[in-house]
Amino acid sequence: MKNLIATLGILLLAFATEATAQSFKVIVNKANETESVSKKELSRIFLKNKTKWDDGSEITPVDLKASSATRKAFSNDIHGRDVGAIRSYWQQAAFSGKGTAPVERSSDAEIITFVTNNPGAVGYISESTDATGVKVLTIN
Amino acid sequence: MVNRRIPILTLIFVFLIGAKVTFAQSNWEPQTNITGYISTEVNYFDELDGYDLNYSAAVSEAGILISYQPKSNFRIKGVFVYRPKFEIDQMLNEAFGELTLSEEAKFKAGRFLLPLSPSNTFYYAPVNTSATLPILVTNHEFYPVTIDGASINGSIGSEFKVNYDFFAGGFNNSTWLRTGAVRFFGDEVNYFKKQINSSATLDPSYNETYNFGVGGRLGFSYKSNIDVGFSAFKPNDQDVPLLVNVPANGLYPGSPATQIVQESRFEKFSYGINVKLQYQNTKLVGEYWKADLVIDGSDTDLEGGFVELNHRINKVTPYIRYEDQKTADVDYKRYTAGVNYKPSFRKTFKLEYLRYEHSSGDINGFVGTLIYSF
Repeated sequence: MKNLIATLGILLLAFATEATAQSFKVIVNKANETESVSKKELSRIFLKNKTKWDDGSEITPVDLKASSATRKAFSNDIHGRDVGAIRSYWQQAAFSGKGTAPVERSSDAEIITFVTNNPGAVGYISESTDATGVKVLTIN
Repeated sequence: MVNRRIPILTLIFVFLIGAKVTFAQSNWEPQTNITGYISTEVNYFDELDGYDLNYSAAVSEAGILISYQPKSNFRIKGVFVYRPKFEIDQMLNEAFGELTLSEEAKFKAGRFLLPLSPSNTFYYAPVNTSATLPILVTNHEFYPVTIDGASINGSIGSEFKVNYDFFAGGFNNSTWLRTGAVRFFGDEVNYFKKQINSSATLDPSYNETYNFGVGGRLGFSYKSNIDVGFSAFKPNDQDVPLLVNVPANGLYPGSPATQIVQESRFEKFSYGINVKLQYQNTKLVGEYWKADLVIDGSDTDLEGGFVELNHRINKVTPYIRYEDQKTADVDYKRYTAGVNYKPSFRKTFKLEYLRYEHSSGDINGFVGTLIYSF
């Protein structure tokens, strides 16, 4: 019985850790005046429901490849759904003509380059990656 | 040939527009999107009259979507869906170019899904929660699914939006397009007409004909929670071949029972309302259509509707649907309950029970579907 309780305790702890862990940081171009963003807003931005920054300029979200561990963490934490569910969302959008998924890049370095070159861009990189050259947003 | 010439000409037209736009702008990263699926299904029916088999398994459809956006304001989209026994022309679901002048004004030309109802979002197997399409989609009596023509569309507003889409063009008359492994879906009206020995029905040659029409949709939405739309479609008046059952002695004293094909003048106008409500993981979708049909000066009302409720619990989505369709002499209902399980983007499993209720006799069926997406 004690073993069962201990196992359940470890599992709960593991889930709790996964739910609260944030292994990514959200970055924008240095020219962007935004300092913070809520999870809900971020989700809307990456689902292309919110398309403009507060100053009226276009938002260009950029995703990591579907196999990326950072994207998995971002998807679970920000959208509350796994990467597969979000890909399904975009497949439905593509077939019904409602839109197409954000552009994708293969690595953190490519995300940083994209954000540096596009004033309206927003992306995310691994928490351990050096974000010099871009601005890191605070997530509310 | 005319039904192939029109989409080809419109495609050439939009490619020319696209080429001009491509050279007109810079600083855009061209984007290509490719996705698709293969769908297999097993059908079982208990009391299907006139069919050799009550059950069958088959590849029900396989589709591929390719879209290319060379500039931020111009995109080309093509969707090809293989379905058993469809002609190539019927498998080319979409092939169009769209020019975005602004969010409020977009211009589209080529072959595209009609914007008449949200049921078009159900049209492709992986994006449809249910294992079967709503009767309104599989049965094309009220309106066609695609059109070869042009559209002007757009949306005004951000959280509260007003959407519009007006179009004109040519389309295939395809009232009975059988789908599914047993190939019963899409043929329901025809099936029940045979069951009651209806005095007249559309002759199969009607499926080969081409017509022109105009229509549109005006919608109002709030975030992704509420969407209400009003649609209308007016095809040109047309001489339609009717298959008429003539009883014994009907032509002259002593004449045998027979069938004749006679052309009748069809004047048709269809209109409807559709609603989508979504709260968190619960979604309610429904629509109601009415068509005023005048056959050789005589009025007939046609109507149909459906309402579907689904609720997603993580990777599992149970759903129920109620449908009703009334034609000149057939009125039937379809009740559906099923479950959609999507463990990953690539895999979808669906299991569904259907019950058709009609005065000629009820039919029960099961549909199991396995879909691989890429």
